[in-house]
Amino acid sequence: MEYNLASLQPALPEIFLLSAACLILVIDLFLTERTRLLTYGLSLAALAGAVALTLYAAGPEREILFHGSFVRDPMSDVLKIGLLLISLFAFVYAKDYLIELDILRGEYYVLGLFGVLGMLVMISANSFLTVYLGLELLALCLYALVAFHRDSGAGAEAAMKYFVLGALASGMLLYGISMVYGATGQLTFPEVAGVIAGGDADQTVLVFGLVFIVVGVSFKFGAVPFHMWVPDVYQGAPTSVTLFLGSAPKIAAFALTMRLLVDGMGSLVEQWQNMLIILAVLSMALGNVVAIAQSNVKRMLAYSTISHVGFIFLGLLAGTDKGYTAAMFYAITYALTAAGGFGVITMLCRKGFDAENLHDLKGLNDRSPWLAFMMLLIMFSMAGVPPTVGFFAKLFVLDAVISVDMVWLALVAVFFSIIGAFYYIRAVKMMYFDKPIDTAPLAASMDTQVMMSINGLAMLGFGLFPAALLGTCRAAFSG
Amino acid sequence: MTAVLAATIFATVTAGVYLAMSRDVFRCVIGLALLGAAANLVLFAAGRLVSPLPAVVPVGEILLTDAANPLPQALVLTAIVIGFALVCYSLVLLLRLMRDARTDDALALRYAEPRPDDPVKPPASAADCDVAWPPEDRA
Amino acid sequence: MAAVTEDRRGGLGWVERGLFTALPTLALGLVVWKLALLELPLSVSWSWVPALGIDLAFRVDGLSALMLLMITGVGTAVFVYAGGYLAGHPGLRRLYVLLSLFMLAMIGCVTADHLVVLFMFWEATSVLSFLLVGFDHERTDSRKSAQQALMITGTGGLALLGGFIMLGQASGTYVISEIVDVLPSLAATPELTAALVLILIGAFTKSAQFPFHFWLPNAMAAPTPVSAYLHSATMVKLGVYLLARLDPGFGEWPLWEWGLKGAGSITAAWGMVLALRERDLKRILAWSTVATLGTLVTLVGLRGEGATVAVGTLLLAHALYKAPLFFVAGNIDHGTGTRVIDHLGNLRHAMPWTAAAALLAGASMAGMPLSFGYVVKDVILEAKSAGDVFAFAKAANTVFGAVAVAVAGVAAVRVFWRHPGVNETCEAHEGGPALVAPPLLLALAGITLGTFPFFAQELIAGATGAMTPDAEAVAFSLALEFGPALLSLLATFAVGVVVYLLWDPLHARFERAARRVGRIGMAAQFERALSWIPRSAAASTRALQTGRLPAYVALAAGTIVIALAAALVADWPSLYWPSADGWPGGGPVGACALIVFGAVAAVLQRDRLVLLLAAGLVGYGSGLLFLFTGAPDVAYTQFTVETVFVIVVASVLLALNRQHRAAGLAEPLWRPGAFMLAVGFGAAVTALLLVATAGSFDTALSQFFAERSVPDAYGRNVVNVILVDFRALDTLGEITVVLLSLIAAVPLLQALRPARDKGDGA
Repeated sequence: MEYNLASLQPALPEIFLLSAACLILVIDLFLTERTRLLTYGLSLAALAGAVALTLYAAGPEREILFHGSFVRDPMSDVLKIGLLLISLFAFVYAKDYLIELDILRGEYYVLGLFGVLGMLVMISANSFLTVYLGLELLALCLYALVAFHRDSGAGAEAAMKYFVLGALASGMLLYGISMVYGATGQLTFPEVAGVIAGGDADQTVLVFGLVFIVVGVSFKFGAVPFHMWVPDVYQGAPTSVTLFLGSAPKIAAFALTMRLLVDGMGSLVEQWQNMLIILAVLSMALGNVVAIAQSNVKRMLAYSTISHVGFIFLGLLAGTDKGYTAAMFYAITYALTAAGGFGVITMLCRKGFDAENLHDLKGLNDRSPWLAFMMLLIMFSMAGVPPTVGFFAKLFVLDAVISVDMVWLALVAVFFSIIGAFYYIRAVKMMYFDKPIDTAPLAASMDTQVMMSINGLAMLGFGLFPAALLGTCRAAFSG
Repeated sequence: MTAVLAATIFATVTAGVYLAMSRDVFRCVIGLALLGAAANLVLFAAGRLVSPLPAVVPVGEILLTDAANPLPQALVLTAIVIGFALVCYSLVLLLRLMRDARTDDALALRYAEPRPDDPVKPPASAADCDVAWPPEDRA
Repeated sequence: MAAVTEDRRGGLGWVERGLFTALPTLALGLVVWKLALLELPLSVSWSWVPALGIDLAFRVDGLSALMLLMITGVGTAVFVYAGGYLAGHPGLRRLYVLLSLFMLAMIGCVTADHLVVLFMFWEATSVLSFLLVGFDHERTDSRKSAQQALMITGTGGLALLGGFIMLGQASGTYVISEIVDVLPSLAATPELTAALVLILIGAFTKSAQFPFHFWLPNAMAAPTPVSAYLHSATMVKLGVYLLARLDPGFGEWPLWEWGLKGAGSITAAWGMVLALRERDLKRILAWSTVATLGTLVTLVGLRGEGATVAVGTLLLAHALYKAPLFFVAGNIDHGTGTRVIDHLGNLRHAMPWTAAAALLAGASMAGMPLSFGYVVKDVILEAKSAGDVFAFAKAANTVFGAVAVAVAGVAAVRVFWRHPGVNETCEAHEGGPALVAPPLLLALAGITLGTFPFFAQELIAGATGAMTPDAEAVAFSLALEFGPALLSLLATFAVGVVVYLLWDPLHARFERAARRVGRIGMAAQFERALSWIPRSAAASTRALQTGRLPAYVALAAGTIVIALAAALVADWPSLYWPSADGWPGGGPVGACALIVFGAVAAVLQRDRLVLLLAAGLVGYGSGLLFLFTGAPDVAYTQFTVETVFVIVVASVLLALNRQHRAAGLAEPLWRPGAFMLAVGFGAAVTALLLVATAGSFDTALSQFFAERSVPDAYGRNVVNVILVDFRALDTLGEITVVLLSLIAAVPLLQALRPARDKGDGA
C-alpha cells in the first residue's frame, strides 16, 4: 500500500480544493470585517487553481484511483471544468449581494468551496459509497447556505424543508445502494455493471434497488413528483444561494445519474428508461404550467428549473451516446443560463430591498439597457429561442429522442416548451415595455458587470457556435 | 436470524416514516434519524450475516476464514458517521428555526412561500393549525 | 449604453439616416446585380454543427430571388420613409437597428436551404417583430399587441420546429432542396402526417391564416413603417413562402391541398368581411392584407402551374400596392393626427403627392387596366378556372375582388375626394420628401410593371420554375389581354363601386352583427384562453404545492410505495424468499427487541425527552446487534456516536425547555393515513431486503479484502484495513463531512446566542 504524489495526480483538483478550503477557513479566522474580501479573492483563486489542475490532469484515458472508488475520465474533466467555472460565476455574483445585505462572512465561501468539492467528488465517484459521500458533502453545505441569512426566518424554514426531504432522499439512495450491493456483492460501478451484465445477479432485486436510486436522483435533481422542496427552497434561500443551488448542482446531478444509472446499471437501461420517461413528462408538464402562475421570480425560475430537469432526463433516457451528449450539453448550458438569470436578480437587490418579484423586472430596459439585454438573452435561452444556446440544447435533446423512435415524447416536449415560452416572454415584456416601479439606480461592481456580460454573451456565443462545446461533450463519451 | 432482523428493520422503518410525516418538526427529524438507523441495518443485512466472529485475521495466519463479512461493516461505519453529522446539524437547524420562525409546527412553516394574497397560495386557514394530519381524518 | 442615452435626446441626423438607408439599398443593388449576372439557382454551404449535420446552407432560386427583391426593394422604401416619419423620435436609432436586423433575418429566411437554419431566421423575425410592434411601448395596446403577435407566431414557430425535426428525420436530410426531391416518393407515415400538420400550423400563424388571423390587425399598433414592412410586404409572406417552397414535395397530399385551400378560402372571405367593419384606415388595410394572404395560400394549394404563376405575380403586386397604401395611411396619420376615416376627407388639396401615390396604388389594388393588379387578376382568374375546384370559384373571386376595389376606393378616393364637409382635418399638411417619395415610387413601379408586364416576366418565370420544377418548359406570358378577363373585371369593378358607395350603411350593419360575433371571435377566444392559463396554473399550484411538509413527505413516500408495490406484484411469482436459518441465540434477539421497543416507544411518546431516549435505544440496540454479529468496531462506533448524539440532543432539549417547548406538538398519536403509508413503506423495504438477501452472494470483493489485508496493508483487523487503506478516500470524505457539519453548525449556534441571552435577561 504505497501512495506517491504522481499516482494521486488525477485527484489533484479535489485534494487541492480540500486543502484550499481548510486553509481559507483558518485564514478567515484572522480577518476583520474590512479585510473580509480577501476570503472572496482566495476562494476565486482556489476555484481557478482547481480549473488549472483539472486541465493539467485531463486526458483521453480513464484512470482509476483509491482501489476503484475514484475515476477520472474525459467526461469528468469536462464536467468538472464546467462546474468550477459556473461556481466561479456564482461566487462573483454573490459578493455584491452579500455586501448589500450585510451578510458577507467567510463561512459563506468556505461552505461554497466544500460544496464544490462535494460535487467534484460526485463527478469522479466510481463507487456507490463515494457517490453517497459527495452527495452528503454537497447537501450539508447547501443546507447550511440556505439557512445562512441569520435574521431570515424564511431561510431557516427553507433549510428545514430542504433537510427533511433531502434526508429522506439520502435514505432512499442508501436503501438502493444496499439492495444493489446485496444483489451483486460489489460496490464499484464497473464491477457492478459486470455482475449485472453477466446475469449473476437477481434481476428483480436490482430493479427494486433501481427504484430507490432513481428516486434519490430525482430528489436531488428536483424532478416531479420529488420536486416539492424546490420552490420553497429557491424562494427562502438568500438569492445568491439560490443562484448557486440552481446552477452548478445540475451538472453534479447529471454526473450522479450518469455514474449510477449508466456506468453502474447500464444494462438495466430498459427499466430506468421507463421510470425516467414518467419523471421527464411530469416534470416538463408541471414545471411549465405552474411557472406561469408565479409572481415571485425566484419561484418562477424554480418551476422553470423543474421543467428543464425534464429535458435533461429526456436526453438521458434516450440511452444512447447521442442522448448522453445532448443531456450533458443541456446540463452545462442550463447551469450557465440559470447562473446568469439569478445573477441578474441578485444585481437588482440592494440594502433593505430583496428583489424577488417579477414586477421588480419592470422597466429594466430604462434603468439599465445592458443588463436588460443580458436578461433578454438569458430568458430567450431558457425559452429555447434561436440563436441562443438554449435552442440548440433543446434541439440536440429532441434529436436524440427522435433518433430512438420516441417521436411522441419529442412532441410532448415541444408542446410544453411552447407553454413555457409564455412566462419567459412575459418577463421580457416587463423588462422592455413596462414602466419601472423601482427607479433606484443599479450599481454593480466591475467584476460583477464583466462576469454578467460574459455570461449573457455566452448565451449568444454558444448559440452561434455550438459545435465546439458539443464536440467536447461528444468526445467525453466516444473516448 | 434473517427473519428476526427483517422484523426489526420493518419496525424501525415504519416508525421512521410515521414520525417523518409528523407535524412536529422535532419528531420529524427523529423519524429521519430512525430511517437512517434502519438504513444502516439494511446495509448491514445486505452483506449477509454469515458468522458471529469479528473480521480479524488471527495472529500467525494471513487469510481470513470463517468470520463476518468485513466490507459491509466498513460501509456501515461510514454511514453511521455521516448520518450522525447530518442529524446533529439538523437539530441545530431546528433550534434556529424555533428562534427565527418561532414555531416547530411543520404546517406553520409558510414563510418561504408566496404572500397570502397570491392566488397560487393555498389558504392557511386558522382551522389548519388545529386540524390533525392527514386530512383524511377530517373527512 | 452610451448610444441609448444619446438617442433619448433626439432623432438622428441626415447622415446617419442615410447610412442606415444605404444598407437595404446596397442589398437591393446586390440582388439586382446578382440576378442580372448569375444563373439561378445559386447555392453555398458552410459546415456549422457537424455533429448534427447542420450546415449553414443557402440557396437562391427564382422564388428566393423574388422574395429578396421585395425584401430589399420595399426595405429601401421603408428605411427612407422611417427617417421622415419618425424624424426627431428618440428611438429612431433603435428602430433602424431593429429594422436592419429584421431585414437580415428575412434575407436569411428566404435563402436558407437547411430546415434548422430556416427555423432560426424564422424565429428571429418573430422576436424582432415583437420588439418592432412594441416600439411605442408607452401605449398599452401596443404592448398587448406585441405580446399577442409574439405568442401566436412564436407558438407557431415551435410547432414548426417539431414539424421540421420530424420531416428531417423522415426524409433523412435537413436540406430543403433535397427534401423536396425526396418527399413525393415517401409513404404517408403518421410521423410525416404529423410533420405536415405542424408545418401548416407554423406557416398559418406566420401568414395570419384562419384561425390565427386575428393578430395581424391588432399588430397595427406598430409604427407605420413597421406595418408596411412587416405586415404587408415581407414577414407575413413568409408563411406563404414556406408553403410554396414545400409545395412541390407535399403537393400531392390531399391533406396539404385541402388544408391550404380550406384555410386560405376561409381567411380570404373572413378578411374581406371584417375589413368592412373597420373605421381605422390601417386596420382596413390590414384586413385586406389578411384576405390577400388567404388568396395566396389558396393559390399555393391549387394544382397546376397557372396557380404557381399567380402566386408569384400576386406576391409581387401586393408588395407594390399594399406597402404604398400603408405609407399613405401613415402620411395621413402624420398630417392629420388621425386614421379614422369618418374624420377624414378632401385631403387632396393639403396632401397632393400623397393623393397621387394613393391613386396609383389604389388603381393597382383595384385591378384597373394598365396596372400590375390587372395582370394579377387576369392570372388568378385563369388559374382558378383551370383548376376549377369550387363551382362558385368565379363568383367568389368576383366578390373578393369587389371588396378589394371598395377598400382601394376608401383608401385612395374617399379620404382624398369625398366628405368635403368634414372639417376636422383642416390643419392637414403634406409630409417631407422622405414621406412622399417612397409610396410614389413603389406605386409607380406597380403601374410600370402593369403597363410593361414583360419586365416582370423573367422574375415570375424563375419563381414559377422553383415552385413547379416539372413545368419549366411551359411557356406563359404576362401580357395585357383585353379579352374575356376585362368583362369579368368590369363586373367586379361594378360590384366594388357599389360596395364602396354603400360603405357606411354596410359598416353599420356589420358593426351590429359583429358585436355579437366579436364575443365568439378568435381574438376573444384567444384572450379568454390566455386568461385561463394563469388561472389554471394557479389552481394547479394550489393543489400541488400545499405548503404542508408532512404532505410532501407523504407524497414522496407514497410514490415510492406505489412504484415498489407495482414491481413486487409484477414479479411476485418469480420471487424466492430466504429459507429459515434457525434461532440466532439470545444476544442478537435481545438487541433486536431493544431496537423494536425503542422504535415503537418513539412513535408513542409525546414528551420530547422520552422520545429522545427511545430513539437512543434504537441506536444502542443497533450497536448491540453489531457486537453480536461479528462487528465490534461498528458497535463501538455506534455506542460512541449514540452517546454524543444523546448529549447533543439533551442540550438541544435544554434550549427547548427554556422556550417552554419540552412537550411535543399536540397532534393525535394515531393518524391512520400516515400509519397505513408507513406500514406500506416498511413492508416494501423489508420484503425487498428479504428478496435481496435470499439470492446467492458474490463474495469476491469481501474475499479480496480478507486476502489482501495482511500481505498488502499489514493489518489484521480487516475492517480497519478497509477503512484506512483500501477505502481511504471514503474515510477522508467522512471526516470532511463531520468537520463540515461543525462549520455549518457554528454560525447557526452563533446566531442563536444573542437570542438566548435576550431570553435569559427577560
